[in-house]
Amino acid sequence: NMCIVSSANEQQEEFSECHLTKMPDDVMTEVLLYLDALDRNNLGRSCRRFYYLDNKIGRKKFYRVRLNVLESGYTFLFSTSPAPKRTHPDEKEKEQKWKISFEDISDVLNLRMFENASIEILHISISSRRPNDQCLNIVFHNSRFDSLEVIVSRMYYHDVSFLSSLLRDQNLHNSQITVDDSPRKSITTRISERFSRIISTVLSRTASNPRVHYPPRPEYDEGKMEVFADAILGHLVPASMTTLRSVYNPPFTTQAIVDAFRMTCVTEEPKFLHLSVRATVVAEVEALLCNDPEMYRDPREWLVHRPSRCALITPLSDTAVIGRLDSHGNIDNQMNTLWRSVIYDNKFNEHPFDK
Amino acid sequence: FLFPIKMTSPRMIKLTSNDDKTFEVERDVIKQSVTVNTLITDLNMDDEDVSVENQMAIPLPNVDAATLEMVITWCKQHREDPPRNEEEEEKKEKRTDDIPEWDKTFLDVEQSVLFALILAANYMDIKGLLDNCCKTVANMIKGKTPDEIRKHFNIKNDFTPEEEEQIRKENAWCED
Repeated sequence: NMCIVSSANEQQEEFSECHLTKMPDDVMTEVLLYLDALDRNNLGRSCRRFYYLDNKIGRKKFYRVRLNVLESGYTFLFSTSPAPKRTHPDEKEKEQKWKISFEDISDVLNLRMFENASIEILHISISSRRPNDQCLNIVFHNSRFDSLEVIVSRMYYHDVSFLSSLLRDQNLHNSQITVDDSPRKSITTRISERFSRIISTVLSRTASNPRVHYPPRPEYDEGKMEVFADAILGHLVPASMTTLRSVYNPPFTTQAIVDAFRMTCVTEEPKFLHLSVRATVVAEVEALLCNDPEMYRDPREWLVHRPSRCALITPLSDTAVIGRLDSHGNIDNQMNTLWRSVIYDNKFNEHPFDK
Repeated sequence: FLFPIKMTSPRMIKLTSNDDKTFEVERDVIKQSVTVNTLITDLNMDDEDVSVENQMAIPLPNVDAATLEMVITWCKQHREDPPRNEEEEEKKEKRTDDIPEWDKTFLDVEQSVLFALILAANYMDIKGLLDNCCKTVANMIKGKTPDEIRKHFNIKNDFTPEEEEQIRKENAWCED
């Protein structure tokens, strides 16, 4: 008898109505907005509908998401917080990893967690000739990211125009594109065309703080890479970027640096350029600008353009810093901070302003 | 000079629930419902020449009598509330610990009643009531595990074991 009663009770419980699931989406969204991430997750894990709703609202926060597009499929690595500072070098960011084959991509439930997510750094590494727009659209169509790092391998196989759609409506603070191509000299021109196109159509419009990152590859055809590097500088400086940092000595020519300086003199928005360049180029730029009657050398050895108060600073033999001086004759505070971070990033012990 | 003082009774509006029960409610009270307010304006029901007896009742096909009675009670209680500035409300921090005491007691009802009230507030577009109802539901969810939430609201777990495992992995960061 006890068993029968118990079973009847269970049945009654099973058939009793669930009122919460009958709430329309807009009302449930209101309820979800009153919950913090953890409580929302718990509700989202209770049933499929709330899971989708939770992910639709998004607002999940990631510190870094790494997406590797390989020949076999995708690898996702994501972390919610950076590695703690001042810890053992072996202590890394706590990352989780998924592997998803191309065939599974359309119905992989867990990818929806990236919808509307807020990502501090999105890192995309592409080493596949297969199209990846679909994946990127599924995952990152509605997510927001502050920084973007893209490493493109075998770029000559791949159409990189997906970056345009990915970056549409993004208000990027930082972006970095690394060309990590195979060292075949014959393809450098083709890279240059495509890369220039990305820079001109994407980064120059969206990024305020782009970074051009060249891995040193002595086997590149030097002449063609100069054209390439100059093209990037030529695209970026007149664009909306306010700070530009280059690392690993892109082979800018003397003329490109001089042009960048002239451009910085005439732009309305003050710009700050921290360029790693070859020592010979630094010397040539200085020599060329010295001859300009509108230029003078201030007591700090900075070359200053009198009308625009734009300065060329060469704190190191292979570094050219270009920026507008404020009314006190200093580089703008914000840029000063950036410069400090640049200097410390590069592990220099002493900041030039501290001298 | 002495002016004759005209004693005017408050303007009344008739509302009919989906189970055909008619309620008379002061115009000033029901103005909190955007839906009803819009209907009154659109149908020129603010015309003072029409007596309440001859007035058309506004049908509310999505609200039953018991719920409508509760809605009217809530509106009466909040008739003196300052008008809501939706822009300000949007900017406000989303918190659930600011439900007025009267509302807390008023909304301390069975789930079926609370959710009927939510649907009615949503249909009649009464933002204040809807907000406090949503906050009450959010408070019911807070601090509960997925299993506890299912049990509390009688939600059926419709995930496949594979999906559940995947979601568990996905949310591992919450459990750190």
